[in-house]
Order: sequence, then structure tokens, then C-alpha cells
Amino acid sequence: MPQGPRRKIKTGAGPEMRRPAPHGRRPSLVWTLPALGVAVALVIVGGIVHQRQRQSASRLALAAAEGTPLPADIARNLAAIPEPTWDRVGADGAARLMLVGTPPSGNVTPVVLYVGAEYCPYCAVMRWPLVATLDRFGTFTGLALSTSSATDVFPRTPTLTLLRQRYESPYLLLQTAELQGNIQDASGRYPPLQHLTDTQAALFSHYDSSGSIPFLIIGGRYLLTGSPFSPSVLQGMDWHAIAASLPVGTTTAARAILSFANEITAAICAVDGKAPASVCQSAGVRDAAQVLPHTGN
Amino acid sequence: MSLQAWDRVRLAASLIGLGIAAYLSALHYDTAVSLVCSSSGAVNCERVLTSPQAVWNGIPVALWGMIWFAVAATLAILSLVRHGAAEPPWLRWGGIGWAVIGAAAVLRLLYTELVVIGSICLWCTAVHVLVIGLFVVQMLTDATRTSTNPEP
Repeated sequence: MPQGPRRKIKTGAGPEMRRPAPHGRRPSLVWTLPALGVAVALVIVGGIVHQRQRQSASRLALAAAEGTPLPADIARNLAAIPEPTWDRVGADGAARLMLVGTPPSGNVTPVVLYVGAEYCPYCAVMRWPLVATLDRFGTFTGLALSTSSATDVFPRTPTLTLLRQRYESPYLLLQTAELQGNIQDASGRYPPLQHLTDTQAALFSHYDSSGSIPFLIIGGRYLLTGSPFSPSVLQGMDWHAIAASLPVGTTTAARAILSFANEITAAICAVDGKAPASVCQSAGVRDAAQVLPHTGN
Repeated sequence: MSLQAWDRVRLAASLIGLGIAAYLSALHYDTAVSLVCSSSGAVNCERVLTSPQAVWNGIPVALWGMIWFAVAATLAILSLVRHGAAEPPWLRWGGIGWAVIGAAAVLRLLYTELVVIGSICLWCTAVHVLVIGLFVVQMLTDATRTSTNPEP
């Protein structure tokens, strides 16, 4: 079979291709810059789209979980905060409880009275340290997930409702009232849920003439009306994230909750004869007791 | 701008990054160190820095950042002491490889912040900008680093 002259085929491995680039330069790597720019842009745009979808899903999840009984992981995290965490957080600032009334006389079981409403974002904040505190003195049942109003300030602040709570403690009596729900009716009002007894109403109006909530009074002696810290601290978190942060106690939310819980604990210890000693003599509670206002008796 | 001037920029950026990474590492290990950053909303340093993703292979990501910037500073110094002379291949490829590792880590961390955690940490963003800046300088000056050392 006749064969014509063969043409020399250039391959990339030939010596022509291995010659140095003009002026002795290696091939430029500047092409990596737009490649990196595209990669960064893709990650950012993709991340923003994903974030928006997640926020939407999170709102739906919050609404769907409303009224659900307290999940086990949240209950466990609230009730099993390690003592070193309590002690490390301590009081973390000035006292928020005011001293009112006189110390209880005789062998009277102190009453802790909480008045709030499910729509109220400041009450949503208050319930976290309140429940964490009371878990140190007794046992809750009947707690459920809730959020503050979707249309008020700090919308959908995650919290626990005390509407159907039952609490057992050898050290204190807990009385709670969630005055209104968190979903407005057609007229824009929040539905009434629970009412104060005459004794509670008298105490409420005596110490809180403006009727502001949340209202917390401990043993008739320590009082707080209003939020112990800003609901903004809890924004963007769900119940699980808030509860999971408590045993570690390093986040802003956890420190805010635990420091006020230490303060409430110190107040209860001041009115219940410093019991139980394991709680009342702990370093964190003693630290909080030092910032509590005292009358000296 | 001369190559030496760019290498000074590399060194300065590496030292700034080293400082930020050291601060973030101190935050991880010492709860007494206060975090100067927003801790609510989309910009939430605290959520990012206390997330499980803030630790990689048992070591805080901030500490990995310190290691990265320390090596980047060393590479910049090694380039600087050559006073503009051509760099040996190991130094050139060392710089390129380190910059690529840094840029890849930034992409991964950006993804983690935006998609997994859902929050942005401003301190981390400052570090990311420095790493990307160092990548850009490395790639832009690469031809200059070898121009006086053509292949035979």
C-alpha cells in the first residue's frame, strides 16, 4: 500500500511546547482570580438563597410547634444545668429584683407568684430563667412550647407557656397566671386565658399599679415588673438552641438566663430558710445573694 | 508597585490576620475575654464562634487560622529577604499552595456560616478578606517572582 510523505504531528509534549514563555515568564496564574471570584459569588448567593428559605421554614416550624408539650431534650437541659455552669455565670451584674415588703415570719412556705401573658415578649424572656430556677427547687409537669405574638415587638420569641403547668416542691408554692393568649382574634384582641384570684389581684395591683407584665414576686419580698433582659437576646434562636446553650452557659442568651436565674434562686433562698443547702450554698447563688438588695435582717 | 512592596503588604496582612485569629482563639479558651461583636440577628459572631463547626479536628478553627497566618507571614518574610531576586521553586509553589489552601478554607467556612450556621461573624469575615487578599497578591505577583529566573 503506497504511503505518501508523513506529516509531522505536533503533540503537547513536543519540545516546541516546552519553550519558556516570552520574556522568560511562566504562564500567568491571574486566571485564578476570576475563578475564585466566581466561586465566592456562588457560595454567597447560594448561601443567601438558602438562608431565606431556612428563615421561612423556621417561621413555619415555630408556628407548627406552638402548644407542643415540652420535648425531652429541652426539659433535660433545663433541669440538668451543671453546678459549675451556675457558679461560673454567677450574678453577672446588678440586681434586677427590688426589695419590697417584710421578711416572712414563722414557718410559712413562701409563694412565688408569676403573672404574664402568652403574647408578651418580655414574659417570654422571663419564663426561661423562672423555669430553670424552679427546676432547682422542684419538678414541673405540663409545660408546653410557645412563642410571643407574631405581630408584637420581638415577634415569635420562643418560650414555654405556664398555662397548664403543675409544680411540686417541698420548699415553695408556685402560682402562675397567663392572662391572655398569643393569637389575636378578629377584633385584634388576645383571648383571655386565666384570671387572678382576689389575693393575687390585690398583690398585683398593690405592687404594680400600672398593670405591667411580666410580674414576679417572691415570698412577698422580692419583686420584678418587666423584662429581666431584652428579648433581642433570644431572637433567631429556637427552643432547642436556647435550652441546649444552658448547660454550657457561654452564649449571651445562656448567661442572661442563668444570671437572672441565680438571682431568683438567691431570692427564694432568702425567703425559704436557705433550703436546699446544696443550691443555696452554691458559689453562683452566694454571688447573686451579694447583689440582692437587703434590709439587714 | 515593586515586588518588595507587595511582600510588605503580604506580611502586614498576615500579621493583622494573626492578631485577629489570636483574639478569636483567646475567646474560645477564655470565657473572661469579651466578644466585641453583634450577638443577634444575621450578624452573630457568638453563634458562629460557639457552634460545633467552630472546631475542626479537635482544634478551634481560629487556632488553625493562627497557624495559617503564621506560615503566610513566614513565607512573606522569606520572599522579602531575597530583596527582589527570583524565588526558588519551593518558595514560589509554597506561596501558591498556601494561598490556595487558604482560599479553599475560606470558601468552606463561608458555606458553613451562610448555609449550616445561618449567621455571619464579622471578625471571621475580616479574616476571610485578608486571606482572599493574600491569594490575590500571590497570584498577581507570581509572574514577577519568576521573571528574573527563566527556565533554561
